[in-house]
This record gives sequence, structure tokens and C-alpha cells, in this order.
Amino acid sequence: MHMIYNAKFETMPRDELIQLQIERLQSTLNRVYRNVGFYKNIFDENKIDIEKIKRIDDIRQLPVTTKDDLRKSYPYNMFAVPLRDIVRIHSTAGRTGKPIAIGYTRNDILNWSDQVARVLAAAGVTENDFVQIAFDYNMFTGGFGLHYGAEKMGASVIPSSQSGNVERQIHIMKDYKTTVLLSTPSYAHRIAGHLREMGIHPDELNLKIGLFGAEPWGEATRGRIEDALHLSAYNIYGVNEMMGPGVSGECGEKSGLHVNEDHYIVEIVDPRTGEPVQHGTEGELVITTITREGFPLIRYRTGDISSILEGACPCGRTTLRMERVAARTDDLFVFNGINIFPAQIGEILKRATGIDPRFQVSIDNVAGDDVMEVKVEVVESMFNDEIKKIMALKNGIAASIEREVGATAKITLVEQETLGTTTGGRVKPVIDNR
Amino acid sequence: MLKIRNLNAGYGKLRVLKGVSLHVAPGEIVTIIGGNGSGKSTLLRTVAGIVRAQEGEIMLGGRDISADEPETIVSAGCSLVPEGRLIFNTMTVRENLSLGAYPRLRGDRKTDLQAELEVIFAMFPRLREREYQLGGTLSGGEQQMLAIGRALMARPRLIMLDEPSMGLAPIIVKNIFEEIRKLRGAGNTILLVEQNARAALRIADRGYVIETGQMVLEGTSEELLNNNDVQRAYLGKEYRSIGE
Repeated sequence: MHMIYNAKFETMPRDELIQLQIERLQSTLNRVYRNVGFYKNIFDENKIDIEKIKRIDDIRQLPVTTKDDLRKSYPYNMFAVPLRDIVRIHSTAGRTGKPIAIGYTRNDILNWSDQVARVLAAAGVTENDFVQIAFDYNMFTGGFGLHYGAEKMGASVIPSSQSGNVERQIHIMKDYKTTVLLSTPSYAHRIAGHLREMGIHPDELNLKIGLFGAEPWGEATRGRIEDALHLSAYNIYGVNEMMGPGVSGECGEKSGLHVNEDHYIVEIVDPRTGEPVQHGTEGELVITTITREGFPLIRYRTGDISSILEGACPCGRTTLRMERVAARTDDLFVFNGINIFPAQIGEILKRATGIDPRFQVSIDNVAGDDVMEVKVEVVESMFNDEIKKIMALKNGIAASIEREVGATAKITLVEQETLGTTTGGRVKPVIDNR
Repeated sequence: MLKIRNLNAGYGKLRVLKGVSLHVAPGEIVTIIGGNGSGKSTLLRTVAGIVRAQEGEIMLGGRDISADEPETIVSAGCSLVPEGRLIFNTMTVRENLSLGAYPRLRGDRKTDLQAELEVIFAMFPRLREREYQLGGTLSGGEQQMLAIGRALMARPRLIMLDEPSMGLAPIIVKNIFEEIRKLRGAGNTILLVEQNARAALRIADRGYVIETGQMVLEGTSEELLNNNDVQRAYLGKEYRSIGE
């Protein structure tokens, strides 16, 4: 059993936790109403009386905050404290528009470190570990957030960053006897690939634990990384706008990510209507910060698709668990009037092939008609000499998509590493050429 | 121990507390800091039943006491040491203390009373020295000890202290706060309202900041001491406006 880093809050009886959440929610609302013009305006415009927020469920009466709201407030208009109280500023990359500046007070940094330390401990990291942080150390929140948390728990931190020089990354890992690797799952794949090229067997390394996040990944990827690097892989989740990593992480059960609920209230809403959905139902993750001083956010729509898991966890933590984030609402595309998540296609591919292949949906308009093509990366286990069998596989996938999604798609098998990726190395789930 | 949700209270049409929620766990010292007229004292007086709750819950050990009479609340284990101490000047120290046990020890139970007094005298030896002196002749610090001793005679589970440092010299304030810290060591739970935020946060586990009847911050004492707003408003650190 892995250590519980902050037992007081991670194993707090539910009724005490809910009391704490309501107190912190109310004081957060009182502070944003007094200190953040944006919130005073939207509460007033929507005739919201914050005194009416008496139970956690009442949070649904409040308007949501969107990424667009934050962009419009760039750089400092959402800060709830005078700038001299800010001790750190991170930002989003701003690939899809203006970036968002995220401010932290001294207390925010302390809380952030504690949240990350909990997530690391839940995966079994201890003060005796050598923790190699292969996330970018820059305006992005990943590197620094994990760094401070690992340092707080007393581990030996190796800030290698997400270097383009993967061989050097591997040399550091080997020479410094790294026991814990933190990176994106796609970067872990790159490390695994370079290990093979360099002729290094994973047992020559000392890796025990890997914590991966910042992009969607599934069970098949977990298996592949675990096989290639000989470590136990854990999912961590964070949002830049929420501070960064530390919102939630998997415990030894690897059955959902425990949310640090003394700092965040999570909801799942229907991404189209914004209406709350039941526990267990997939939807968009909406988060409210309840301890944040510098940059408090009320009902922030993360754009991440998840669900809340029912039931207690055998690990002893009393906090809610969320399902790993497998898709983004941004990936949602409309094809001939049908809303489709790439994850739906992924599920079909997983069933048809028995593995979780990398794939990309590409949509074009040919002579006035929208056409969909699903490009699937072939791996060895899928390969078959008999053309008949390959054809049957392709036809089977197309038929399943037709039946379950209601759309016609052309299935193409492509070679590995040929699909277009993001700068983080993740395959872009959808290329829309319309 | 104490769990308050969405409490509204005031005087006539004047609403002083506007949806206040807070809790005190067993064995904790929790402090509420806030400026003049922020609602700190009203909060304690409402819990004690002196001011009527207009809305909300006040749970003491699992039971809602928000509609109870003050004497019922004392019997339920919640005692208030009021602002300005309010001891009886023309009664002796012994008589003042004995009154505190009145709800529990009625009738001819002198031996029990003597045992109770001994506990208080052991805690505050100064009160034993002044046992037969009139309350009004004690110094400010001694009067505060007497007020605390009187509250303890009711054997409360929760002691609420309203501005115990008021009107006392700094050295005496230090002593009183040391006594409060010892009370917790002896297994008491304490809710402390103070204008002297620095002194209160030094002994408290957690605190709340109240402004115009609404909670604006909750946190450990360390977090509150770290918070720049608290430093500016309550700890006398320099103030500069937004944007500098």
C-alpha cells in the first residue's frame, strides 16, 4: 500500500469534507465578488445572489467560466489580489488564440506543491526516489509544478526537462539511477524507441514508477509503456488554468484518479447543453477552485471529457475519483450532422484489433460531399500476410462505425509514425480539411 | 464539535451575519479575525443563544441548537466568555466562580463545588489568592482569568472567548493567551474571537477572516499569516494599492 501523503484531507470523512468545501466555496465567492470585476459583473448580470449558495449542488446556479473569458481578461484582469502579492506567473501556450496568464501567490505555490506531493505519493513515490522530470520547464505549468511537489516530499529531483535530445535524457536516467520518470506518454514512447536503438535493455535502468499526463492516453498505451520501460505507469491530471498538475492522480488501485477535493470542486456537465449529468456519465469536466488566492476560477469549463466514479476506493482515500481523460471537447467534430468524439472510433478500433492502435480521423469535402477517412497505424500483431484477412478487418471496422456512430468511413492502414502529431508528440485525433 | 451552516443573524432589521459557515473540530483552537463591526461578536452571541439565529444551522455535537435558550446551550456544553468580561463586581471571586457551576450544581452539593473550585484554583493560582476579594477590585488580567474560570465551572465542551485581550497590557495579553493555549492542552475546544490577530493566530490551529458579516478566507494559521490581505488589514503591514 502506498503512503497517503496528507491523510487529514485525503481520508477525511465525507460529511467533514463537504462542510469544508462549502465554507471554502462561500469564502471564495465572497472574495471573487469583491476583488474580480469579471465575476462581479457576471454575477450581477445573471442576478446571482451568492448568499443563496448554501449547498455544494447550488453551485449549478452559478454561470460558468470559459477559456474565452480568460483570454479576454489577458493578462491580469482575472487576478484576485494586487500584483505585488503574485510570486509566480505561468501561461498557456496560446496555440488557439491569445494565451492565458496564470498568477500564483505564496500560499498558492505551497498548496500546489502539497497537491502534487499527494499525487506522487499515491503512485508510490517516496523521499528515497530519484525523480526525473521530463516535462518542459518554462511558461508551461508541468515542469515547475511537479518539481516543487517532488522536492516538498523530499525526493531527489532531476530537472531534465522535455529535452529534444532523448539520448541525453536516457544517459541521465541511466547514470543517475532514476527510479521515477515523469513525462507525457508520447515522450515515454520516444524514450522507449531510443532505448531500442541504443541497444539498452530496460533492466539496465532503475525505473520503478512512471507518472504520465498532459495528453489523453489509455490502457493499451499504459501496457505498452510498462512493457517497454519496465515500470508501473500512473495517470496524473492537471489543468494549466487550475495551477497545473495536482488536480488528481491514480492510487495503487489504478482505477480512476483521486481528486484533491479540499482544493477543487468537480462537476461533469453535458458539453452541448451545459447541464449537469449523473455520476458515471461521461461529459465535460468543470472545476471550481476553493483555496486559490491569486487566480480563483468559478465553474471553469476544462474542455476535458471525463466522468465521476461511484463508490469508495479500497486504498482508503475518501476523495471522489474521476475517469482518466480520454478526449477533449475540442476534438468533438460534426460529420453529416452527427456529433462524434474520436474516442468513440478508438473504442471500435480497440475491439476490432484487440489493441489500442494510434489513429487519426481526417475529413474532407469532395465535390460537395463530406467524406471521412480513419487512418490506423499498423503494428506487427495486426499484420497479416493474407490480404483477405486484412480486408475483413477493414470492412469489420467500417461496419461497426456505420452501425454505432451512424457514419460512413473509409478505413486506411498506414505505417507507424506517419500520422501528424502535435508539438507534444501526440497524434492529432482529427484533421478537418473542410 | 461545532458546525455552522449558512447562518444569518442580526438585530431587528439589521442583518449582521450573512450566510456564515464554519466548523470547529474537537481539540482545536479556531480564531475568527475581522475588523470592528464585522460580525465577530454577533457570531459568538448567536451561537450562545443571546442573539436569535434568523436562518441557518448551528450544530453542537450533532444537535441543532440554533433555536435553544442560552441556559440550554450552556447545559449542552457551550460557554461564552463575553467581551469586557462582565464579572460581578460586588461579588467575591469565589461567588463569581460558583455562579458558573449553577446550572450543574444546584442544591446542597457543597463538596462537589469545592472540588470544582480547586480545579480552577489549580489552573489560576492568582484566583485562589483573591478568593474572598470582590471582583471589582481585581486587575484587568485577573478579571479575565476570573471570567474564563467562571465559564469553565460549567464544564463546557466548547469555550468561546470574545476579545479576551481587550483593554489589557501587552504583557498581560501574553499571559492570557498562554492560559488559553494551556486550556486546549487540557482537552478543551476553543473558538476565539480577536482583534489582536497576531496574538490569536499565534496560538490557533486555524482561522477565518470575516468582513461585513461574510467569511472571506479560511485556512491554517500559517496560511493566514502568509496571506498578504491579512497582513495588510490585520497585522499592520504597509499597504499599497492594486497595480503598484
